[in-house]
Amino acid sequence: MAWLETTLLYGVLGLVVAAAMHLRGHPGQLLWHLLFWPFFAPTLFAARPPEPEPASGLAAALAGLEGIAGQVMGPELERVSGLTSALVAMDRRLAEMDGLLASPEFDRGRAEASLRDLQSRGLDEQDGRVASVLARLRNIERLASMRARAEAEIERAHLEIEALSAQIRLLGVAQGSPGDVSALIEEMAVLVEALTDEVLAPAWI
Amino acid sequence: MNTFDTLLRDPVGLDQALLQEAQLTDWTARMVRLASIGTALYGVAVGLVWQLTSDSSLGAWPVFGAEGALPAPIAVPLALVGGLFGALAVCLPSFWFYTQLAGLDASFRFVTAQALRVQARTAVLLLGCLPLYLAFALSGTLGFDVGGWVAVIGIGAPFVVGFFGVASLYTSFRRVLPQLEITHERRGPFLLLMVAGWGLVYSTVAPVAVLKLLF
Repeated sequence: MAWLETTLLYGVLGLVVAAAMHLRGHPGQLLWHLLFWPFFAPTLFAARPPEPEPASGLAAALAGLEGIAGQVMGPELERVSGLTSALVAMDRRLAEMDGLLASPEFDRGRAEASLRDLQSRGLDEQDGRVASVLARLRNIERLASMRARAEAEIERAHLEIEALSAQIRLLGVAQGSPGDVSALIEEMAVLVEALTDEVLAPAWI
Repeated sequence: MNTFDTLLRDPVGLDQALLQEAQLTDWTARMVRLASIGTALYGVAVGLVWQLTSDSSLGAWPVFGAEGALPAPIAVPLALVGGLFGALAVCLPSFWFYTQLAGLDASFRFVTAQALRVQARTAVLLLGCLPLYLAFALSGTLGFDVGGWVAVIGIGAPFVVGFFGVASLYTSFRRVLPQLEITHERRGPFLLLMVAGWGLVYSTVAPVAVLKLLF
C-alpha cells in the first residue's frame, strides 16, 4: 500500500474514532483523537463509569472528619447509609411512575380522545362509559401530580445533601476554632436528622 | 499537580490514576499530548542542529518520504513523532499479549496507558538532555570533530533515553502487581521478562520506523 492510501485509511479511521470520542463525552480534542486514534480507540471499549450514589459524597465527607468533630458526627454515618438506600428507592419509585405514565392506560391523549368520541355521540356524565373515562383522567392527573412532587422532593434532597457535604467539609477545615466547630456540629446534627426524616418518609409516598 | 509534575514526581499517584477506569481516558490524552509535544520539540532542535552542521555536499537531506521534500527542522520532528508513535501503536497488541502471558489480567486500556507513560517520560527526559546535546553540537565550533555524530546521537538518543522509561515501567508494574488480577501464577522473574519483551519488540520496530520515515 502506498503512502497516500495508508494516510487516507488512517485518516478515515481517525475520523471515526474522533467522532466516537466526541459522542462519548470527550469534546474539544478532535485533532489529538484524529492524529493519535490508535491510543484512544481502546478507551471506547471501556464500560461507562457508574453514576456516583447520591449520598456517597456526604458519607465520604463524614468519614473524612477527624478529632472531636469526627467523634460527634461518627454515628451520623449510619444514618447516611440509610439515606442512600432511601434515595435509591425514591429514584426507583420515580422511574416506576414514569413507566406507568408512558403506558397506554395512563395515556392522557388517548383518554381525552375517547371522551371526545363518547361526548360527540351525545353521551353525558351520567353514562357509565363517560364516567369511567373521567375517572381514568382523574387518575392520570393524580399520578402526574404525584410524580411532579416526587421529582421536586428528590431534587431538594440532592441539593440539601450537597449543602450538607459542603458544610461538613467546612467543619473539617474549621477544626481549629472550638466555637465555630461546636456551632457547626450542632447545626449539622439537626440538618442530618431533618434530612433523614424527610427522605425516609416523604410526603408523596 | 499537572501531567509533567505527576509523571516525574508522583509515580505512585500516577499508578493509582491509571488503575481507575474513569480517569484512564483523561490520562491517555494528557500523556499523548505531553509525549508528542516533547518529542516534536526535541525533534525540532535536532533538526536545526542537523541542518546547521551537516555537510553542504549532502544537499537536501534528510528527507521525509521523498528526496529533498522537507528541511531537517520539519522532517526530523515528523519522523520522530510519526516513527515512535507509529511503532508504539503497532506494538500495543504485543505488549498486551506479553502481559497476559506473564499471568497479569491487565486491560488493553491500562497497557496502552502504561506504554504512553514510558513515551511521555522519555520525551520529558529528552528535553532534559537537550542542553547536553546542544553543548555537544556546539563543541564542533571549538575545533572538535563531531561531524556525523551530531545526527547519529540526535536520532539515537530517544532509544537510549527510552531505557530509563522502560525501567520506570518495570517499577510501576511491580507497584501495581498486588492490584492486578493474576490469571495464572508465574515463577521466576516473570515481570522482568515481560518488560524486557516490551522493550525488545519496541526497540526492534521503532528505529526501523524512524529511519524509514527519515530516508
